[in-house]
Amino acid sequence: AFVENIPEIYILSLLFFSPHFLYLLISVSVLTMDPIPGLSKLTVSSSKKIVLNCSDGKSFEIDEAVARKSKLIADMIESGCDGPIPLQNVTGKTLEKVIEYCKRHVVEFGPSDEDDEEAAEKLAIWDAEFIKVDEETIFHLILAANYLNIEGLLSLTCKTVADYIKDKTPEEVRQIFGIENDYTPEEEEAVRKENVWAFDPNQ
Amino acid sequence: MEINLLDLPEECTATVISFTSPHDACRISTVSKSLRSTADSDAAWQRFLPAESRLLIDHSLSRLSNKQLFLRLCDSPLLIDDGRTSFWMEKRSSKKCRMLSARKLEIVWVDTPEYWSWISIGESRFEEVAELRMVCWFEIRGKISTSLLSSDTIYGAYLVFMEVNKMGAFGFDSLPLETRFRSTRTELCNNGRVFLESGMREPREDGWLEIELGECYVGFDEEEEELEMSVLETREGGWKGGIIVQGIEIRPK
Repeated sequence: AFVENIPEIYILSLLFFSPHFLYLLISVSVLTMDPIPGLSKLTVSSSKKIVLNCSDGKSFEIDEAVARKSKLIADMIESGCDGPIPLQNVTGKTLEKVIEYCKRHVVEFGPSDEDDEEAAEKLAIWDAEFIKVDEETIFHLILAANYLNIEGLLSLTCKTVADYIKDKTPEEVRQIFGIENDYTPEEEEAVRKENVWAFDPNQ
Repeated sequence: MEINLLDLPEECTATVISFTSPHDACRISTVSKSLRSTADSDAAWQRFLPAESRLLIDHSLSRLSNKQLFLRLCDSPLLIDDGRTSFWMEKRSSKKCRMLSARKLEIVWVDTPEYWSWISIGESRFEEVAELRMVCWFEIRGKISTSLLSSDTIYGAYLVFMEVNKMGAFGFDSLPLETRFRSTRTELCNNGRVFLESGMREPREDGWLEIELGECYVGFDEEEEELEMSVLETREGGWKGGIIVQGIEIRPK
């Protein structure tokens, strides 16, 4: 009864000029048909999916935009690869984590109520939580990020490992990574001499 | 720990090392023979060396590896900009440093021989330094673009000088100098007053003296801007002189 009393023109104008309505309209038209060629490329939810097959048989279907975070996959898509992409070097468990990273790092278009600095801060906090995993997982993430060529993930994982070795003595580094000292005493002395400034607390 | 650095492909280990520091990279090369070549590699050192350094060096240095070039830039400043600026790296922090020679600064009255003269002395890294015979209006200004400095660093500016001979400086004792180091973009200023002659000056390792003009913070990836530094005594008007100015040094605090 309320709606009937308000002149239709007002309701129509309200709906028509609302950005939310326009967004809904566009999404609906994409799902049902593609009235304007190339319109689908303008929307956030691209309907193209990419299938990734892991070394241990697991399969993942993800949005193309997410898959493109990997330069390796992006190049494959560019050169016309259409079907499922085999990733022999990555297990399901690792790929799941990689996809989680890529999903969060896909640049989103559209209205947002936070500015760039705030968004970057939030992302950094998310990254810090994301990387709180055991060393074996980080190790596998580095290998996956390197193989798939995902720059942001590679930097994040390598920086984390770098933090383990910053300001440590060589002996501590050997212990942390289980590395054997294969220098002879004379060789070790020579290489330490060459890098003597790094051991000087004053420099 | 489950990760063994040696199990990673070399390019990954080099990337890990590139996120540490020059100090750490040198230590890591002493950990084991197997890690040494990675720790010394150009890939591991690329982040420590400023991108433009390869453009600044001449042919004789171009064959040095990134590590060698970095260490060379730390140990001996490079003369660039037609010999008017000195450029080097601070080892520990891998931050860029510069000294602007007197020729690069704006020194009021510098071309009037009764007041200032250009001389060459062995102790200077530049071909010429400015000797102050005497002047009433003492004003020296310099500026530097933040694009030439390292980001996320607090820089200090220092006037580098010496006395003409022992007890050679005069007229500075009773008059404080007004110093300033200023960002033109944020207009944040660091002002101060120093006395050239008494205890506020510091001896340097290269035998010269310095007084601090102030400090400025250079941020991340912001728009390039100019930092301005100045040291003046233009109020009291008394005669002062007897110093030799080599330049203004800008280095991390």
